[in-house]
Amino acid sequence: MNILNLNQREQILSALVISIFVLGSYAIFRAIPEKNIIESLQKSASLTEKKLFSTTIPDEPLENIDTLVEQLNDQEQAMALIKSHAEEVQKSLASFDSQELKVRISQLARDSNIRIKANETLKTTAQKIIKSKTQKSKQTDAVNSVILPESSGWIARMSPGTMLHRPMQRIELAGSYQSLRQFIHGLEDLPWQVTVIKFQIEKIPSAAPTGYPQSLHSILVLAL
Amino acid sequence: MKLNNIFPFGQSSQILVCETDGFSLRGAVLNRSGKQVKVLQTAQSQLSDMDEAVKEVINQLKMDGWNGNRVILLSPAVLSTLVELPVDPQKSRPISQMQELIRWEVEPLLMQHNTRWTVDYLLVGCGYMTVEQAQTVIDMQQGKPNPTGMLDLTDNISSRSFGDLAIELGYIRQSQLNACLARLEWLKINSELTDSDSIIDCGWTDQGEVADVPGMYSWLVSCLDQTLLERWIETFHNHGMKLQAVYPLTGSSSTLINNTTDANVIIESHKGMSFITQIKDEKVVFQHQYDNLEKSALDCCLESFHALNIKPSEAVFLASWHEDTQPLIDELQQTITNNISSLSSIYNMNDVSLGMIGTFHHALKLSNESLCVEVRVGGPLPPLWQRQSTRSMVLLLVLLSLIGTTELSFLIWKHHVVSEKTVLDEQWATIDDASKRIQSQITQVNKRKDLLAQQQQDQIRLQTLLDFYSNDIPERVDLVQGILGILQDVVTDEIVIESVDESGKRATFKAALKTLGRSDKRIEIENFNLEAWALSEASAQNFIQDLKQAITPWNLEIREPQVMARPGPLSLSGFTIAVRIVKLLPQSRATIQ
Repeated sequence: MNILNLNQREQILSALVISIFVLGSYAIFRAIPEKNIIESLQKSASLTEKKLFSTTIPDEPLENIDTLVEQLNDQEQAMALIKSHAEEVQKSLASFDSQELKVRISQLARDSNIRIKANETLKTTAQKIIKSKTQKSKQTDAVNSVILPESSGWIARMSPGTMLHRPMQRIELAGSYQSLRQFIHGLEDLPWQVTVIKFQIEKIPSAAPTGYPQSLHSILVLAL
Repeated sequence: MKLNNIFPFGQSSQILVCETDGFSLRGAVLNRSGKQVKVLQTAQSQLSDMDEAVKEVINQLKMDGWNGNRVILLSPAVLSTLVELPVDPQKSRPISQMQELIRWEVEPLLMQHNTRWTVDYLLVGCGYMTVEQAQTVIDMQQGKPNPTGMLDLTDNISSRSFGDLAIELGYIRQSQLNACLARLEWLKINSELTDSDSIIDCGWTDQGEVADVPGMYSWLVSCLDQTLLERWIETFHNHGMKLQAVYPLTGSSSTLINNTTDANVIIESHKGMSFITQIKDEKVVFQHQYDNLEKSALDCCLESFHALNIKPSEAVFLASWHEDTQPLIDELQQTITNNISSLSSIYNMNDVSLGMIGTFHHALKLSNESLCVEVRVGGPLPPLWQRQSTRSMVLLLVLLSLIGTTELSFLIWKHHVVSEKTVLDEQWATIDDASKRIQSQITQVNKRKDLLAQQQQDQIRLQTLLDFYSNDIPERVDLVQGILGILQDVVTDEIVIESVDESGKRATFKAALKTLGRSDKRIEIENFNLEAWALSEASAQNFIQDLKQAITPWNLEIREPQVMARPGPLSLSGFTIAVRIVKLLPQSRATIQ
């Protein structure tokens, strides 16, 4: 077949084949990829448009940051002042394992004519306190930082796990009422703060001899 | 104005134009420069064998630096004539049909044309013998008396060839005869050597309707034996050339006429021949060739001129193949009244003829194409639309248009989408920046607020701690001492304190009991249970009364006082006293921190 002398039918067939080949190649390698690119751009644009319509700009905060910083600074200064006061107060507290204070208390009892029948550490676990305050404690994250209300009682308020935690000592005493008062007054004069947070005073059943004061049985819980 | 004249794309502007008059071959490389035609190289060969002549010419041109391969040829073997056919050019017929019609018309004319090419014509034309000597030989062949007396009739002269007789008569040499026979092979086909009838290759162009004969149209035709054409093609091909077309030696200079709307007459003057062409309204209306080697150029021109009835007003152009044209023009001007001018005087006729220039014009479509027609190698081109190249170009254009339109659509679409996206992206960037800035501010503010709240909380707790040790603990110490002091103060001789403790009923979060029908929202934070014994009920009530008064400054209250008769110490009858001394606090303060 002479390519330069094609008849009508061959020319039509050749034109058809060339057209299909050229247009097909163009469609596959150029048109469809380009169309996909443009459609992805269009899709991206419509997504951006939807975002534009759906997005709301949040209101600017009413508070001024500078004012807040100023408040923070003021508060820090106030905190520093309070901390210095608290440190001063805490200096009057004995250390948790202070044996010297226990010796002083024993000495004071002797000086006050009080006989100590029992002197032991009052064991109050934090667990009990936490359990009893579980529902309210949910409001705070740290258990050891709970400050219980005044209505909780002194022992609970100063139990382990609370912010006011102090070691507590249970003392059973035997002596007269005056001696007991002298002992309690004498606690105030100790170099460290000792507080009677619970007491129980009972008259012993047997009567005192004539001319002698009635002997009492006392149980004190001291916060050291 | 034609498009090719404006945009001469796709056409080589250099063509080798070869011309042979049957006796020699010359070639000139012509170059188009704007509307001017320049002669670049020329070469000439006098060899009798055209194959050798072509080789010589091409070698000369290549030595001069030409390296093209397109060739067109002017040959006297090509017949140019006008034929009348009942074929309307507007309703063109298929090429094969047109070829048949034209071959039918031109076959006798070509045969007549070829009769001119005889050995005697060439021998006389080459100057090897005179016209009289040729006539003597012919006369002898025809049995007429031999004036020379050199040969007898007994020699069977009539059966011997012209050449042999001329040699025997001593007019020519064998080599001269051989040279003319070699030239003759390139001018006509020896019918004795061919097995079948030779096919004629034609080219044609319409010249409009014949005057006074409706439905009949004049066609300018060039034709040539196909065997001759193929011989030329092969010859040029053997030397690396590509023959594109063969033009008639006569009539091609008509294309050099600038103004073809008016009536013009062109007389071509060749050696021993003249050719006249009449042009009206851009159409060739008459052609006539006159051959006579005996007559001068002037006589031949006059014969041609008088073969046509020419009005005095018609311009007559002379295209001369002679070295000096002006004397011929002057002689013609003295003889005829028409204004005679040279067709062109800018070319050196020794190097190139006006026919060569004219065919170059025609080949590059620089002039009116209908004034001349070639025998195209490969056959005539079909109408524009039927050409495969045209259809291929149309297909290409359609495909390119489709692709271009699609690309344009993509471009517009993409531009629209990109510009829309750019605007949206800018808007989004603005909003996003604002949102991020505000969000950052909110975050910072919240962070500082949280920090502030945390600090406030810490401050409250620290303050609580401080208050506890500064206020609560001293108050407790004072309270314990105060309670003990109060008891010591209020106890009389009729009262015996049994016990004081803080156990028993404990302080709770529960509100205090309703008192006097009023709801008491206060919380008991201190509780002292006191049990005592009194000798009388009155002393018991007095004790409670005194106790109540004594604890009032301490913000203490007595709750649930009970006085009941019960034996006391030493079995004395009396009354027991049971009271609770409580310290109350508003419920709002009883919260966990």
